[in-house]
Amino acid sequence: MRIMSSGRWRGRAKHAGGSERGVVLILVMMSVTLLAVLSGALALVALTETAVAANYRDADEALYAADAAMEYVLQEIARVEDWTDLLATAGLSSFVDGEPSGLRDAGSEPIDLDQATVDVTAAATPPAGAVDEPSVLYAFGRFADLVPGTATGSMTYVAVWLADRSPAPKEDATEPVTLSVAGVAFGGRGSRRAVEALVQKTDSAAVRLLAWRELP
Amino acid sequence: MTISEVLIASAITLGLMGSVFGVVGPLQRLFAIQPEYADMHQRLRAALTAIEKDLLAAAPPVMPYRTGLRRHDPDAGVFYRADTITLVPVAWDPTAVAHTYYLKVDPAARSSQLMRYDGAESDVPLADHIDRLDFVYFDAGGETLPPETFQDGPWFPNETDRNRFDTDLLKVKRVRVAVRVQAAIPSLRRVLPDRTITLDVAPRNANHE
Repeated sequence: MRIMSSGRWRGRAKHAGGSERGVVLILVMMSVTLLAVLSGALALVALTETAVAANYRDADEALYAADAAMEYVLQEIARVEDWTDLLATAGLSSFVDGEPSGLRDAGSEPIDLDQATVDVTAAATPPAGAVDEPSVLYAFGRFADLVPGTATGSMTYVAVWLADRSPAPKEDATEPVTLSVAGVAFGGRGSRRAVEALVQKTDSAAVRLLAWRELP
Repeated sequence: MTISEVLIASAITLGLMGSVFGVVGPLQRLFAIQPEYADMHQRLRAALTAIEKDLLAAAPPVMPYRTGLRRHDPDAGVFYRADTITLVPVAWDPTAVAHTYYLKVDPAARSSQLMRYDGAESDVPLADHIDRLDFVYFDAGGETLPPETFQDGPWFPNETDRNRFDTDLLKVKRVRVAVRVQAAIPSLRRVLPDRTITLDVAPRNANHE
């Protein structure tokens, strides 16, 4: 059985068939483009989620790095007889990587230690009834050097500041009895977390933690 | 054009359309699932970040009930709720406020929210579709403190004070937080099972002795 068999129709069909060359290519291109757009959108969602998760992980790591650096300094200052010495000069800790100023490279962006000191002094506000002395940079370096073997490959940079928080009013010559110890960690992808502890000198070679908080 | 040509063309067209729909169907489901999956994780992160931050900085006692100006649990004689915790910061930063975290369940809407109360007038939702919030309390030796110990006294400062608390709460040195989140779209809950995260937090200010 044949349908549409008149000569007039065949002529039209032939003419139409000739002009349809390349139609399949267009259809294939459209299909491929559609699938590519769909796949791209899906990949974008997955990549965004991965980036959000990575930022969250970096921020969490930075918090624990800041806390660890602060704990390290607490152990160190517990053995110091007179805390006046700690505040007289910057960078007295055994954990330093050079001069207590200038720029440091922490992977994503450089860290300006001088600006960081200004920021910490502004954020670490004293509790009521305590003296308001500026923070002094005490310890600083790569977190990987603080805990060798456990933070291998970590680009996190940590620094710890000390400030006198003795009860006010206080004579300049008297030894500080209460210190603010502020630890800051600069992690990957620009993450930054800071913690602060208020500690008091005890009779034994230990410090008493009065309070702990996270700084903005 | 013969009938066989028409039939072959139709068969090819149908085959092609079937293949396209075969790909588009799963893709559509994938497009619905993937953002929901990301959203579930984001809600989990938001909930845990808020609770962890306040728990770390909380001053003792950590209270397993609601306190504040409105619906103050001790007024009703309630001193324990498994899904509630009140965290008071140390008196250091004058801008810091106490927060009560609790689960608000709406049986009619079959949904629940993680809520935060500021101790004054505001109860604000932190995350939707959180269907479980649990707190377990541990002492310095790592032993679980049973709920009864928080409700039987002795009381501080006395048995009648509005802000009294069981002194056993001062034994709390570690808190286990469990948060379970479910997909916001009910039809996706079969393919996207609920996610639960449990973490232990040692409040820094409760561990300084």
